[in-house]
Amino acid sequence: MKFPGILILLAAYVFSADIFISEIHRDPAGAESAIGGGASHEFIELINSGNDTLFIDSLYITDGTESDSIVPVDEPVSGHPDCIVSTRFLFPGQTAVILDPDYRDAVTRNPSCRLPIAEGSVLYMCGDRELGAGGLASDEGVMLYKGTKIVIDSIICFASDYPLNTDGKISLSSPVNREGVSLVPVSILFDTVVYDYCAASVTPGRCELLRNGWVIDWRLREKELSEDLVTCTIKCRKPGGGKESQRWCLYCDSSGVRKILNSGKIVSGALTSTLISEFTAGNFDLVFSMANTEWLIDLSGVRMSGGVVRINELSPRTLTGEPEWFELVNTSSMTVNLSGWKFGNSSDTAILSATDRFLEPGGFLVVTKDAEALCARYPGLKNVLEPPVWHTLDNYRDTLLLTGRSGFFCDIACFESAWFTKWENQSLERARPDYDGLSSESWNLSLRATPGFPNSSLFWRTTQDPSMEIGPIPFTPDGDGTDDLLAVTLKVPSSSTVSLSIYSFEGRMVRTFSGPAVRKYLWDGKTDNGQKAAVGPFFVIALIQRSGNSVMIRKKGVLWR
Amino acid sequence: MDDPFPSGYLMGNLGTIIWDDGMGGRSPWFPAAALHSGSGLVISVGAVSYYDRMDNLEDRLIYRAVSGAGYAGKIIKIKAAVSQFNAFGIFYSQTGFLSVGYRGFSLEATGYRFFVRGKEETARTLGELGAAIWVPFKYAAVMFQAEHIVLKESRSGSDTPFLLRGSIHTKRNLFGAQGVTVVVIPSRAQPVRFTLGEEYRLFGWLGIHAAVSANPVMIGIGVVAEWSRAGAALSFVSHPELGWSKGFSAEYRPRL
Repeated sequence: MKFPGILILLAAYVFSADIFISEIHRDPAGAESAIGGGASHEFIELINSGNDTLFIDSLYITDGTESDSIVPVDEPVSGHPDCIVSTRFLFPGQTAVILDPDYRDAVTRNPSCRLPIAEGSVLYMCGDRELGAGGLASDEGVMLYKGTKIVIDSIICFASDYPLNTDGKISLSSPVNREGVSLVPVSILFDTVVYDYCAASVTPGRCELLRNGWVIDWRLREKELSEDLVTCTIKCRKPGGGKESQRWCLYCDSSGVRKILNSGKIVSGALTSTLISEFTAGNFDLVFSMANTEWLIDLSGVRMSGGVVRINELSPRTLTGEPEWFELVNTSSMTVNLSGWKFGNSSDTAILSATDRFLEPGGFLVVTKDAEALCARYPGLKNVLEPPVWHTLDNYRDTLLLTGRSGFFCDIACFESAWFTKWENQSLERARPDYDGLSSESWNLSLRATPGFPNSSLFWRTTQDPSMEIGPIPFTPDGDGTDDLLAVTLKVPSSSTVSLSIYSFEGRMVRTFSGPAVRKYLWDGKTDNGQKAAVGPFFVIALIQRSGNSVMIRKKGVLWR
Repeated sequence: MDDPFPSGYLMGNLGTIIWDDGMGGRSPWFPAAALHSGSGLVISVGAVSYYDRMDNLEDRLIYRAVSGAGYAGKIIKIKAAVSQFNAFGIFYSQTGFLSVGYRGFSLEATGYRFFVRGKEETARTLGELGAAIWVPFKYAAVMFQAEHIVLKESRSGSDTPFLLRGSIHTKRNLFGAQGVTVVVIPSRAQPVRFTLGEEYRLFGWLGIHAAVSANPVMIGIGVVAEWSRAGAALSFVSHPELGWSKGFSAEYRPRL
């Protein structure tokens, strides 16, 4: 079953704000193993941060392509005597861990693969199959919803950084996966849930965001670049609620001397409380204090000069009827007002926006000559800006400069057609946000234009050391719906070309993949002639070429049917 | 699933150097037609490690171990061999081979069992027939073979396609011994494989051999040593993308 990508986009508007995926563990430590039951297991941790109980009846999990029911673990699990089993409820403030269905048997047979699940956690598992239907890929996100296997009634929560995906898959590609380290949210109370590595590798059943029962989240914004005025928005929530009143205090700490900036009281029963304070940036630490607990607020992002807004993608050559456009991304932790900013080159500049136009941290803004035409071309596109006057981009060679309100240099994008082979009407994507934008290495031809969203190559072309993963092993293209396709996932440096071939045990090349390099190749077990490839070992050979140098990666697998 | 090259002594020369009183002809896993009449009993063992270690499952190899025996009387010849194939502890194949020859003609029966660890209940079995004709002339012999004629299989879709092989093998001469084989697999888009090989004896008991094949391109090299009743061979085959395969074989001919 496939969920259309647009359905997942809608999730941003309808999902419950009370249930969060507070940990996702996709790449367990240990050797790649084909043995059923495995020595390592994936899991997903949930927290009910609201005031209502979650009933798991009709609760399903999906990676966007396959879905599976969530059911209680019905008997105590070896090594986890204090975890809660056989319950269909997740009460406010409780944490649950969703496990693979074979976890209980695996820990009984092999206690060394036991996860360090916190006492009191509620244990659930997938009803039929492993998380993500055969394991979560290293760039895969998940969504929990109420409904049936084929119908979504309401979305409970999801972990994803790229909600619109044409192939239906839910992706969570940033940060790049590390073996044995799970991802935990570092920010959940603002619009975007941001994930990062778990400092303690894996902590199933323990929500890192909870301190003394509270979740605190904040955003900083420079009000005026010239006056060092900073607005601090703090959001507070107490999972499980209650009606107690709490005193809070925001103060600056300079060499041990504390000065109160703001203080007040909030009632924890109100789901999320928002506190806004304003202060002048200086050389001090900013500390938020509540419920006998202190949170140090990172001010390092506030003083960033220029450069926080980058040109992330641009499309000087477009299809007929599609206007020119370029995309900006805010790489800082503060909201930026683009009012008065300019774009263009040394001889011609244009105002980006004459009025306030805010770009949230991590947010994208698409700047185009004709917003209406662009939205018609890319349905679902939001955050589009049509400047009063357009600066036309050259199709062959140009420099696009972005300058701030007071004229400070912010970013530059240089390109010329000679850098690219077969540049027709593809957009140019920045290979990495930290590349200078001046050289050929900074830009890739996109696989598909992604205005308003992360680049199609952002996550697989951000490495200097190419790598390739294949799976499953064994791979069984017998049409039974399980392990029918071999996934070959690549990470390659920018400006690389990839030649991918599959060899039989006999040493013959049985399948080749040509055309522009893509992040994931899927092999159905057939040769280039459409015949079934022989069972037994096979080899996947990727030849990655870049700037005259080539690297060969060879992986072996087993085909069985 | 077909092997990329023969096992044992024939590995380094990619199956091109076969003379009926030489090690190639005596290999128990080769058709009895090529066994020299009246040569008596031979026992052989061999092992092959296939290709490089690659970039995953580095500590797991692909290998085949093979052993067998053959006997040639004046008219009747018989050979039998078994082999065990293991692909990194996940995929296994067990093979039994029996060849019965009458003068220069032999019939071969081969049984296979393939399975994947953890899925033994889905094991496949396959029974096949083959035939070989060995026609010796004064300076060379010609051989024709048909292989993989499926008799019975547990599930449809044979993974060892029918093939025809024709080959010419010279006798030992001033320049050593030479061989050419042409394999045709009709079901393949590129059905023909050519192989050319040469063996040169540095001394009467020590020889080196090499061979090259197209589709797929492979280069084999090997060293062979033969004493009065024993012989051993060390072989290497290189594939441009998959790397080096290593093989060893030994034989002994007990006096009856």
